[in-house]
Amino acid sequence: MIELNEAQARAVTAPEGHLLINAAAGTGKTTTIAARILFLQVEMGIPASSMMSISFSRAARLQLLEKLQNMAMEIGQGSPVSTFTFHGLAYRILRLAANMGETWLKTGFEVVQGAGEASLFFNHRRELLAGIKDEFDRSIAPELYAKALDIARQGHYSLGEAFFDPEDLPGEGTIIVPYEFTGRVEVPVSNVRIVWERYQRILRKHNAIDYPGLILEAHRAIAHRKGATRERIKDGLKYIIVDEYQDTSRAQERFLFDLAGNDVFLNVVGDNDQAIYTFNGSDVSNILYFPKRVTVSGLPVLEPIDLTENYRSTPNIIMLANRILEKQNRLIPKKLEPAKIRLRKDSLVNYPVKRINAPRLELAADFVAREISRLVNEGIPASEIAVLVRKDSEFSRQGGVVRDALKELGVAISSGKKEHERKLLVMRALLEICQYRYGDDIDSLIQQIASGYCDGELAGTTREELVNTLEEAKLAGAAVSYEVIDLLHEHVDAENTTPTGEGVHIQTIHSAKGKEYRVVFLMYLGDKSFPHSSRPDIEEERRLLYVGITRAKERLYVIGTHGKLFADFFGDCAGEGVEHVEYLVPGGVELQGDTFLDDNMMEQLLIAEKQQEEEEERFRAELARFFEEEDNQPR
Amino acid sequence: MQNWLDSLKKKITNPVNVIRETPVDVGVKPDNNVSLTEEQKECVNYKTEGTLLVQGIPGSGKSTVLLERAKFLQKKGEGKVLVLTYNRSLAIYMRQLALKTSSNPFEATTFHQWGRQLLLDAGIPNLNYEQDLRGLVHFALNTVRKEETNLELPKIGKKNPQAEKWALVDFLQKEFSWIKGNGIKGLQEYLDVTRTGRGKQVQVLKGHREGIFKVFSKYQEMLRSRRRIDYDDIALLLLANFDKINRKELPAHILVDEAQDLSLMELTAIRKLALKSLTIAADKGQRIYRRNFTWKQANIDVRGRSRMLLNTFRSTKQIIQLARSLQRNDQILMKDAEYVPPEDPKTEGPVPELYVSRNRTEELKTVLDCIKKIRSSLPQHTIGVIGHSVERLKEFEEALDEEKIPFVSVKEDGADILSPGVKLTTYYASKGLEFDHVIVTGLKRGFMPFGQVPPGEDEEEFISTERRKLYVAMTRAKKHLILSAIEKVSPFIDELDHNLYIRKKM
Repeated sequence: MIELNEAQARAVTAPEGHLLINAAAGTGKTTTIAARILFLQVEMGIPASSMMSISFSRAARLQLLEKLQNMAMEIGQGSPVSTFTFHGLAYRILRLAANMGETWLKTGFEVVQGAGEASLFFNHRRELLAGIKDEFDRSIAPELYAKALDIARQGHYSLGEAFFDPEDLPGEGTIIVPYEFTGRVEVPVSNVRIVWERYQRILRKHNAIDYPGLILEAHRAIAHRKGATRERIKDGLKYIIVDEYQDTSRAQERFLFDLAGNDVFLNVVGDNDQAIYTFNGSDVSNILYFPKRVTVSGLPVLEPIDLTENYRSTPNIIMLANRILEKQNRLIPKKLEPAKIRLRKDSLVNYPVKRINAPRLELAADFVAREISRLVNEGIPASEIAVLVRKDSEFSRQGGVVRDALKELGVAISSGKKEHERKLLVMRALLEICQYRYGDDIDSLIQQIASGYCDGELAGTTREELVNTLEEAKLAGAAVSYEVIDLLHEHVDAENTTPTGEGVHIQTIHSAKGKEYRVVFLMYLGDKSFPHSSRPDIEEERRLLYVGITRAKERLYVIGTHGKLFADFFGDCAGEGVEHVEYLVPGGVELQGDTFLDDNMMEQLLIAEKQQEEEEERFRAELARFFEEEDNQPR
Repeated sequence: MQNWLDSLKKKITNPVNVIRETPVDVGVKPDNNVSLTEEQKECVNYKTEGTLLVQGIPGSGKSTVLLERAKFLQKKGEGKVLVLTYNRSLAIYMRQLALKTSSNPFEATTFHQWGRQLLLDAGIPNLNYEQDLRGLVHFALNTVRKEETNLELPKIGKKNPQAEKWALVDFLQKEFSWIKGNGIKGLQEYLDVTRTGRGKQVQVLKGHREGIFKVFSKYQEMLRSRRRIDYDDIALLLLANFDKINRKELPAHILVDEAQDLSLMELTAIRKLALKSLTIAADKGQRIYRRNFTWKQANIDVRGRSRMLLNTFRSTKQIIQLARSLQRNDQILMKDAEYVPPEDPKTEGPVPELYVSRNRTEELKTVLDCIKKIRSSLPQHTIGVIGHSVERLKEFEEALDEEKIPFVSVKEDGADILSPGVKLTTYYASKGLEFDHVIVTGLKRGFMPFGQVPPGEDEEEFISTERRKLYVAMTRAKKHLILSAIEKVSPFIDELDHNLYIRKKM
């Protein structure tokens, strides 16, 4: 049957109550969640319809649902439960509330981008900022206010709480907005309040809501204890299971706590060492203080359970991951600190981790391409190999150079960017189709599309793509077409989309969250590159390094060069179980010279060297003493 | 004890120009239009522990003095210690040296990077550099010409009107940088100021100055409306926004290397931003960025005492003697009252070599052959290859890749300048660095000195500046200097004392 270790078993069979599971990387988190859901159904008699699960992304959700389905099949009992992303759940709540007149949003409302070029905010920037007094240049003011508004609504460590209404904002003070990746600009709260009020009026006029606003409005819609929306959503609800809890924002926490009220148990799973979205509004204190904060519900809170036994990686990879964590100044008090990952029991081949010193990005790409080509020839499928880069943008082409090098060697590549575009296309087509057939049964919808009945509405997608996505929604709990729309909502950007196709995966570490690969190439360690930017958040960057390392099952390559300005991640990777490789020229094999300086020259050079060393040593010592003595003199 | 101290001091004050003024008035006078809070006044009116000026010739160990002083201050633990430079490679080099020698390394960065970060943190918006400054100057010039029918501007003296126009643009761009670098506030000040350091080739009359300032004002207006800045704006913005800068972020001690490369305003800004002490290392002979101001103007008083670091210990006697024979041709420097020729170092080494190639391809081969020999004989040594352009260095890079010889491009982020092996650098980026072996390449007529004299510059001054560039490049070598010329060879080769080098063939 399903094999669980002791800690996993304790988590699965825990009694009724709020529960935090601290699951370190590769410790069988998904298996444990799935088993917990089935245990609650089978042993504790809680029907699947009384449970809801929240995942971070559609990919993570699919992973959980497939696990649930397989496990349920194996034990012959139990079934998958409704599974949403936070945005999908909020969207569903607002759709219901709109039907019941419990939100200002009207049926058929639109979800728009919060900021950025084509957003509602940007298009109305003049109206929003008219008469606002500050010292910002008008060209950047819209961006600053859009960001300040997001921070106010999501919650941010500089503010503490998330704000759900402009009126709740304090009368004075500033919101610190990161600007241009390195600067911090203080935006007056009193101004943010005015802009927020105006923005709300504009959203109202357009019957639209943006992504950060979704959570806020959904929270408002369920806030009335006796409201019809709340009743519909909570109808018999007993358990909410939340995955990747370390990446939730303060606003999401409050929404979740209010939704749960005093009659729904929260079972949350996460790893504070893997919090990698704090730049985007997530707050690691949510997971650190969950047991404390959740006591407001008055329901029993269980003792947190640590999952530390790693089932994913070889001992050498785990040793490295633990070494990196040791460098971290953990925020949490000691007793909450999850134990280090423990070694897995069965034996993979324990390859040494390879640390490659490639002083230039081009050399790194050259190494990665040649090594991948070698591994593929050895029989490792390309799709089990991932190149995880810190950044892959126009200005930091870490993924780009590897892609170029691999193409030259004719190795197949699967890239996230194209898939992201494709995903958006599919989503748009399905939203149209579902809106037009509002209320249709999902099976009939699938049949209609499969039979070619909707071919006129494909909008550049294929029948197969639409059917697959609908099947995914069905698995997640959608029964009718409008529920499909709830489940499709996911908020990710192109750079951080997980590729899924055949071929080598070249993607950012952010997009590899929750994933695992047989072979991982991690790059590019070095100043400004990783840790990234000219003023990096070292702790978050190190968590990202940890996440990258723990994606590898069998072989891990860490590529880069020593950091000189901030942290030396490359240097930190050295140690037991790690083999060092110098890769200084294309192909890796340096020239062994056969011409030499003549003896006379050599002799002169070596004498000069000795003399210079002595001179310099003397000079330094004199200087040091001189500064010391002079400093001690009375002035 | 006292005796020992005295003898040491005697030893040090002889070669080192160490001036300590206690207390020194650093930034006590805030701009008149800036009102300060009580707290800020307290911060501004601090007593510094003094300003230290270290002057010396290339190779005299200014950087070593700076390094030791930075280490000393860091050990004292009174607050952050920061080393500032003008060019990035030197900042990385200093940081690497700090990392190598201390478990608690001081920070090192360029003035512009540091200043821009302070401004960003203070919430000052619009700090993006204008990418096409030349284009903007051209645009400003055209606009003013349309508005003003009798605009007076200097004549550069090119025959072709198109060439004349662009030469004027280049002249103006340099002049604008000078105006901003010296903190000239208005037309009257510009009319009254004595403008030194500009060549005699372009005649600038009073009417011209008015014209120049009109175009300058338009240029400034355009820069602002594009919400961009130029390099000279960083210092001006730091001074203008002094009260907004978070003093908690400021270092207690600032040490500036190659301070002669910074403008008056840049140095003034640094003075105001150093909380406790300022150490400045500078060189007259090494001035290759063509800026001009006296220490006094930046409130750094060097009256009466003008001893320098005369003792060079970076290079061998053979290298310094050859470099000195080149320097003798610098008439401007020879006439300078402050100039003192470098003394012979104690260390002796091999006689410098000169290779002459017929063309660029042959030079590439010669340089590679030299590198190969040194690498296989002395793998623990550094080899600096100095080229006149990024394009030429690219050719060296490709050839080295082809031959499977590792190299480091000094210009790259995080370049490892300290470890053994080949380092590729331009003349400019080589400033302040040192290598066991140096190969100075591209000594060809038309490349060194470069092409033609830029507009607005005196020919003698320009040639002198180019010669000083070569001098700096040669004195990067600690033990072994190779000069690589291409026919027809640079006139500077003829200036060298031919008894002090060996002409060799591959």
